[in-house]
Amino acid sequence: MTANPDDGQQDFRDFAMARASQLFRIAYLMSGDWHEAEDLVQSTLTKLFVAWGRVQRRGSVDTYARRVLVNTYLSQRRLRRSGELPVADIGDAGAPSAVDAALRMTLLAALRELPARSRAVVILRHIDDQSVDSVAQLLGTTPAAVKSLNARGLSRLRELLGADQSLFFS
Amino acid sequence: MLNDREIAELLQRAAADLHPAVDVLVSRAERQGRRRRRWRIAGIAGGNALAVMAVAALAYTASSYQPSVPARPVPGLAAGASSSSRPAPKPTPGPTPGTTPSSGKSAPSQHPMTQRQMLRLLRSLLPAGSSLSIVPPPYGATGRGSLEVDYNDGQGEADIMLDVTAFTTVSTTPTSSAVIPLTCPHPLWTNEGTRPAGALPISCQVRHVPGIGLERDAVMYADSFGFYGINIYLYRADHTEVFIQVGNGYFDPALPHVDRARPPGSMALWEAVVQNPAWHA
Repeated sequence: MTANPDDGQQDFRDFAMARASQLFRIAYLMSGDWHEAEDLVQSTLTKLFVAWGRVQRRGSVDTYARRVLVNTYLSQRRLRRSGELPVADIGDAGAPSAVDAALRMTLLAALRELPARSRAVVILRHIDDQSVDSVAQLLGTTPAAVKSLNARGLSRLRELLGADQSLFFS
Repeated sequence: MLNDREIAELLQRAAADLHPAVDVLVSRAERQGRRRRRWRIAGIAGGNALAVMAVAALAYTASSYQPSVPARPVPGLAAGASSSSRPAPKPTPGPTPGTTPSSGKSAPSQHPMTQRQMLRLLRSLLPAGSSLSIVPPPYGATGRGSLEVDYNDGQGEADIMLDVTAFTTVSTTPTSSAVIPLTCPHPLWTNEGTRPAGALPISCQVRHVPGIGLERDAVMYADSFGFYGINIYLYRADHTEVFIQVGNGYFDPALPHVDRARPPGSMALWEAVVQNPAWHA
């Protein structure tokens, strides 16, 4: 590592290029909207860019990025209150291909039924493979609370998706 | 009933083929981050800037515009400025083009402007009797396409940040993640600190400028120092983004110093500046 500030920018770029897709997947499933997901990722990366030196020195880049993403999402949910987009807009909002499009829309609709924190927990646990402890750290809560949110979230998804099993396995 | 593992598999399937335009997201985050770094140091941190680039309610199609505006010098107002510019900056690559094929246009072909070129043009567009001086590193902008100056019109110093960059992809396809979204937050921003007496009110307007592009004109919220600015984004049909931010004070060196109640000039003046076709990325 040298003192050249450009090196830090290259490090940031390398990290961002490698992680942006995964951050986007998390954001997209949480928000249910392509453009909102882009905003969330861009917000996250922007904040990460600003704090890059400090975060990198602490070796917490991944954790920081996820935490910013989730916190930004949750705070937007709080601000929006009734700002949820109708499900019908989801397809228009940018599913990138026809592959699994129906599955995605159904899942997004089901995820939308979950409270925001529960949705975040389910996605972080099952899309991002984060441990219970990691999710607890990201959300600033206890492992017990994460387990509870996850269990309730999956249970609710199970209810919502039950009727559509044939769609998934046909 | 699905078990937990099956639900997890479904979630992973649903996310598997999501492919955002990562290079566009990263490039834009870098640009925003550079701006924010300065303003964060000044205490303007926060998520509000994100609202600048919110949902693509106003996404537009380049092809709906007239042919690209040729880059040519346009006579500005009389130039009476002085400069204390630093040595020419190291050239850096321009913005990474996006890859959405649905756009029938390519990015502008000229080289990004140097800081000296930007300074010269900006000076030509500002009233006589004013002064401009480049803010040097480490606080000022570096590289082509970005300029930060201290501006004084005789009524106090003001920080001006100017970026001219190429944006590549404009598409009517809603699945394109590279469509440039531009909107105003609702509700508008709220001040973090006290707005100086006589300050411009917070405002925001997105409008289509015939024959030029899509523009967002805003007067931003005040930070905890009472620092705020006029903030304009212009997305031209020739795929050039021109951004300007004109503060009501300057940075000394990193913290804001409010030198006046209002930024210099008027919204109309700065709109004319960003709309000048000689800016090129």
